[in-house]
Amino acid sequence: MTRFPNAFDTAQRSQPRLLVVLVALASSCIDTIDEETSAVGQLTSDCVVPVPDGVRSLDAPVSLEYTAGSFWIWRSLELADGQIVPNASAFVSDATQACASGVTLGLDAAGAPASLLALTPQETAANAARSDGRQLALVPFGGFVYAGLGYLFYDHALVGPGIFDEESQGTGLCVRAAQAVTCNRVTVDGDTILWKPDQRILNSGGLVVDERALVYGCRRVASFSTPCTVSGAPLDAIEVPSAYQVYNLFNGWVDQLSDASVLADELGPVTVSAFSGAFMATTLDIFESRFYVRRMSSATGEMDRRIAIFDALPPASWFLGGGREHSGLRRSPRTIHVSYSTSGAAAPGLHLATFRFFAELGEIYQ
Amino acid sequence: MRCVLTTLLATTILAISAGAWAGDAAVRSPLADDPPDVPSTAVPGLAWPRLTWLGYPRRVPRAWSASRDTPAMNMIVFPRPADMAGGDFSLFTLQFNRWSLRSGFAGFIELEVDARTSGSNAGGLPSGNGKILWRGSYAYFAAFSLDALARSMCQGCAIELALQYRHESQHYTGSNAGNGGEEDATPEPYVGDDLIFDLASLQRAGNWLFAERAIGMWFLPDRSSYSAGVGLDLHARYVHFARVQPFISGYAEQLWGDMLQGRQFPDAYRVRALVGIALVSALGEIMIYGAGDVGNRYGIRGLTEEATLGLGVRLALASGPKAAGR
Repeated sequence: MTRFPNAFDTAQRSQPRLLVVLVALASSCIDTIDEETSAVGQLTSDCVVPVPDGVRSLDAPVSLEYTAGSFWIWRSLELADGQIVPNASAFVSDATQACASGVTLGLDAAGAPASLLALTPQETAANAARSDGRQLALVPFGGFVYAGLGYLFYDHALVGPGIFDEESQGTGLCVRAAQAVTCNRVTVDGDTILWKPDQRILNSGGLVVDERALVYGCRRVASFSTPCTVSGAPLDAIEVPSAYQVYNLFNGWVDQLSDASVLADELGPVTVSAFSGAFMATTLDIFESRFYVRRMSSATGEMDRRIAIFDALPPASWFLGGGREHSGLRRSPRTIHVSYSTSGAAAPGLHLATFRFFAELGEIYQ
Repeated sequence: MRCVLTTLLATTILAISAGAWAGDAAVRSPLADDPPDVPSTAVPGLAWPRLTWLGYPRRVPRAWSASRDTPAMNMIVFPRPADMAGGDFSLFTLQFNRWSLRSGFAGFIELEVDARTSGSNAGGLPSGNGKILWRGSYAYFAAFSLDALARSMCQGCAIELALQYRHESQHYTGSNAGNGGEEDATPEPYVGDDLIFDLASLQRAGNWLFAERAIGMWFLPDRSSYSAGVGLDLHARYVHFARVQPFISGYAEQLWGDMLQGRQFPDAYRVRALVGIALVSALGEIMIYGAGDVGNRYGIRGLTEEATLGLGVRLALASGPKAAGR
């Protein structure tokens, strides 16, 4: 006897397949609404520093951090008339005031913005005589302050002929007396290049801890790899290049750069400072346009994991500039100030951001 | 919209399939005619109080809740695979003439794959390619049931007050293949320790059973990323049939963020609904449901706010309508 399928049979046979289809469709039902964040503190302000009269724009500075304020140094400053002033500087004593009324540039005797770090007449003449499109430029790195004197490390860079062409010749040291708008370049055996590029990395500022001056440096060694190390010299030999050694976590202070321990690997700028009873590195992730802090067990110790603090205004193109933390502007225990420059359309220019932590660093890193 | 329709359809088909399987389900629920509880270990010579070891945790079961924090044997099939091993038991019950006291333990461990369901593992359980997110919780509770007051209101009614201390922590496991990567979970919220007070009630109206629970949470200072919270739990089921009972559950909670380890955490909210059928037995029930939710995720993804639709199965031990009727 032949049995003809009816609608019920058909439905029963197709039910498992239908179930599979429905279940597969249902699996796509996730709609992300928002990604929230928790925070270790609050960005209390992020202002655009007003541009001084007669100046076209402000880029991000490096700095020397004094107790009374932060001494900012710009690699170059373009005036309204198109003139370029290398290594102009300004002393910033208060972040709120800088946000409200801008900075007051250091002026020379003629009343024009002064170059803190200037080429010698011989260097200027040598630049004029060159025909390969390259020019020697002095590029400030930052440094530390000790006994009222500012110790500024800088690069002797051959710049050009292309816009991105820059070759380091070596690092020099310039000493700034209190209130001065120029600094004195240290010379050893007639040469201002005190450290060759493969001798010491001194490009990330420094500080004085106990009986030693510490200077941090980060050097690109491969794509996306920029290890940071620390160099140091006894305080009575700050101006002696050979006194600078690098720190090894196992052997202490050693001479070979290749023996230095890596404190961190950061592509962006790193600023180490004493903070909250310990040491802290403030870093900028140039890809995320986000600032982080990293606790350090000591000024020569490895940097702990990153903790995000705030997002900067992303640039319209390329990366943010600057990113230094200015400990000289701190006026309350849990507050830090960071400068950066951005081309972001909403508020282009030099920014000074103030961030307040909710708790001590030790509590955050529990 | 496609998700909504397909999930509803899938739930409906599952329900119809289960209903067909039940076949002879058209037996009236004995709920209304349930005799009073007869303790397995009564104190000799005393009519009241009566002491019972290991029993139903609550007069008004929590296992019906739409909350993901419900301690039960639970498997979420979609949208992400999540398996929970959990239980909720009274270690002892003291039953007096007018009230009863239950005190015991609740706890769970939940493993959720941090990815959509994409297949099944060797055991046939749903699986996905992602990190495994862990949640572990334990709680001690005392529940005080006002039996006489509830009886005076209606046959089968219940009113219950409960207080519990809960701890919950969350973690994650990377892939055994090493592709999970390390993750700093400190920015993510941490439930930690809290005291939870709730007031629950249960009513029978014809063939319908309703349960409600209002919840208040107070988190211990410096032990959680939340300070306080409130929740509301609603459940309705059609109890005409003894073995197969359609139900709907809804749950909503609001948690207020707090400072923990120098970090300020944001508020969180969750709204979730279950629609499905419960296959009832003396031991408990199998709840097959479709779920929809909006709000913060759980565990170390608690900062993500999302809306999902999914499917799941729950084995709710010691929690069926017979439990509610006692």
